[in-house]
Amino acid sequence: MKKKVLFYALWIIVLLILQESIFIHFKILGVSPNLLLAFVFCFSFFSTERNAIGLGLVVGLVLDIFCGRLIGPYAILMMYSALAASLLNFSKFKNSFSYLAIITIPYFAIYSFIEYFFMRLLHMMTAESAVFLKDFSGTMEARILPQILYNVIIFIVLAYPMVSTIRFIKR
Amino acid sequence: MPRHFKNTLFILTIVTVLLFVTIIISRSADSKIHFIYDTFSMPFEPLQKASSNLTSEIKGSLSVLSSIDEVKEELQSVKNENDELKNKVNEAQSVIKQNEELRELLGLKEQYTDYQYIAASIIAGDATDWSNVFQIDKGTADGIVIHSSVITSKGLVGIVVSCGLTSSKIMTVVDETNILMARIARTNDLVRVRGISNENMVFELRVDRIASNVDIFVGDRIITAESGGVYPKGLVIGTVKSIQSQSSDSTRVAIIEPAVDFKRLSEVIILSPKETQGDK
Repeated sequence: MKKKVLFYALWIIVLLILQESIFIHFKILGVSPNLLLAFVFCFSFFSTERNAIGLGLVVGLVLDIFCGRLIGPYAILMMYSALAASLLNFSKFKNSFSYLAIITIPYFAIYSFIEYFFMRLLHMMTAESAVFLKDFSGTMEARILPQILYNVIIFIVLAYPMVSTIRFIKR
Repeated sequence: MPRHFKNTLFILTIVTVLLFVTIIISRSADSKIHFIYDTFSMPFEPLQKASSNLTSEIKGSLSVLSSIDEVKEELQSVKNENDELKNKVNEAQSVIKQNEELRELLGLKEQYTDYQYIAASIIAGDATDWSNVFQIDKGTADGIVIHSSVITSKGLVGIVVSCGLTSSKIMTVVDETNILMARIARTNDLVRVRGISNENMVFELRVDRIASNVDIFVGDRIITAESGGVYPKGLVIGTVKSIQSQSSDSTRVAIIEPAVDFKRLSEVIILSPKETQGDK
């Protein structure tokens, strides 16, 4: 258990620093990747539901505390994303890496859309912005699609070290 | 439904409700909930600073590598020139540019005598692309307080929304939640400006509901007005980029190009009220 917490904490710290201090300088098409989402997806996929919820909650709170103005939005998003990743690990494909690879693109795509709608809703609540979807097609092109692409690429890069860590923890 | 899943669902519901409560509470910058940032930010600040510096170094090296062909061509064309003389010219240009920036800053300093000027570096950016929040390497220990204005020599950057001991969070003026009163510099007409950056990654502001009797043109400079003491008056927000008429009523909407280039922001100045220093 101690080993698990230590490795989780190390991954979170390293990815947080990379995400907020390094990758913001290496934006592709104006967007930066969500490394912590890749972490949540991979580690939650191989976890039980409760562990996944806990992991998502912690990672989301870290993102809220360090990167956001409000405390809570990313905690909610990450918590449910983690639960979804955990529930996606059906018994038929239990811990299958090829299955994990197949669901990566739809997972990140659905996350990006949910994140967009959720953040727009929050902005409607916090700002005097009466319009929910101002320019959806423009946002798709400028933000959502590049973000999905970047997140998938980052996940492919990070998948091997993350899966190795999971194997090491479970040993 | 299995019992353990029911329990999980119950926990999930409770946590979700609690998180919505924290979202509502944290909407106010004065909320006590921001102590979480104060507590957790300090141990991370050296790491963030080091990695930010490292990235700047790497970016500098990469830009040299990517422009190596250009450099070669340039070298070929100027090989007969005197290198020493060229260096001196470059140095002189750099000094002139630096001098211009310092003059601009000096002008600001003379204008805002009630404020302490604190220079800070950006150590972490908006990692989620949604919040328009940056982190700087100065905090309450350096005299920064919540609601301090953040500027560069070009104009207004934003406002301090959260303060740790050695680092702070600043929300940029282009954020959608940011609304401020401003004046058209040429006519002194009062207008309401708000950020509209959260759509399509464009950093812009908007002047809503401009009445027909207000004189506004493309190229007009928009400056801060005295809006409840949050921003000092007279700071440049940006220039009018375009004006659109509203079909529903006789009002117009103006899009403002910010004076500050948010994509290349690395150093900022915090205007911290001098009274706070005295109170300490």
